[in-house]
Amino acid sequence: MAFKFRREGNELAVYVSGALTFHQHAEGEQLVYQITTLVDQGEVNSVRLNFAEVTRMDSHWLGVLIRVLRRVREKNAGFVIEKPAVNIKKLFEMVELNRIAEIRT
Amino acid sequence: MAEIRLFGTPDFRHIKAVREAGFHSGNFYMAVMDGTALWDPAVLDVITGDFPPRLLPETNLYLALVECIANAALHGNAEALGLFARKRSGVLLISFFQTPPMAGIVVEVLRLARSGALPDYTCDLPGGLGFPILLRLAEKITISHDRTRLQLWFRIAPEKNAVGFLTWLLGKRRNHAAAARSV
Repeated sequence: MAFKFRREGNELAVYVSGALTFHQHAEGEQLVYQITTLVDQGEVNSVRLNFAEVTRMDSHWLGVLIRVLRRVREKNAGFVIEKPAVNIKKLFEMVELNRIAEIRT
Repeated sequence: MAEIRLFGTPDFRHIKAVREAGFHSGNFYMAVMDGTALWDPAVLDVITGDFPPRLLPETNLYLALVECIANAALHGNAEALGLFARKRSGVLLISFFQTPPMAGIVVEVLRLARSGALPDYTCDLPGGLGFPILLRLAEKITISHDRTRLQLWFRIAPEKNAVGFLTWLLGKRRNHAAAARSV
């Protein structure tokens, strides 16, 4: 897996790609740290995760997303997940992630 | 019965324990992973590819396998994990045997997940989302009393899948026979 950051004004766009499973545990911790640091420092007020290139995902990474979401919300910042593939969208629906996060297809 | 596929270099006593625990003449797939192989993402792709097509949607099979392997690797400190699969009429059973056994908390986490409620996302997730997801994929999940076995039952459509399964099985036997002849 890989992720790229792009700052667009006060918005942080994160382009995530590959398989997001527990095997990439360390990368998940790094992603949480990098996003929350920027949000905590007030450098961004909106986070957009682009999932167009994500192929697989498991509950471990759902936990990663939920941790990011909670930290972002604590700072009253925006959080959007965009362009998930059909299988990833199905997983989000399975755990009702859309109850708490904006998911744009 | 299928041959045991080895991932990593599992200890002989682990292979023996797994073989004894999971022996069944109806098994069409058997594998043993050592502790290192549990952390190798390529192993999941190989196992998913080894399974007969169309028994389960590929994404559901992958998700079920990754959740169970994560359970063993992250929370179970498994030194070895056995995987068995067999099919009878409209039911597919995927069974995991791990050594040492799963932690006692796993039973409580499964009980919570069976209540059907998803965790409250505004607070820490007790037990995470692994079992809630598995319970949405599988018809039934059980853990043995000694906590060495995690079993998942999936409902499959027998009429729709019988031909595909038999074709896969015959192809596999032919490949084995061809490989044996070439040695």
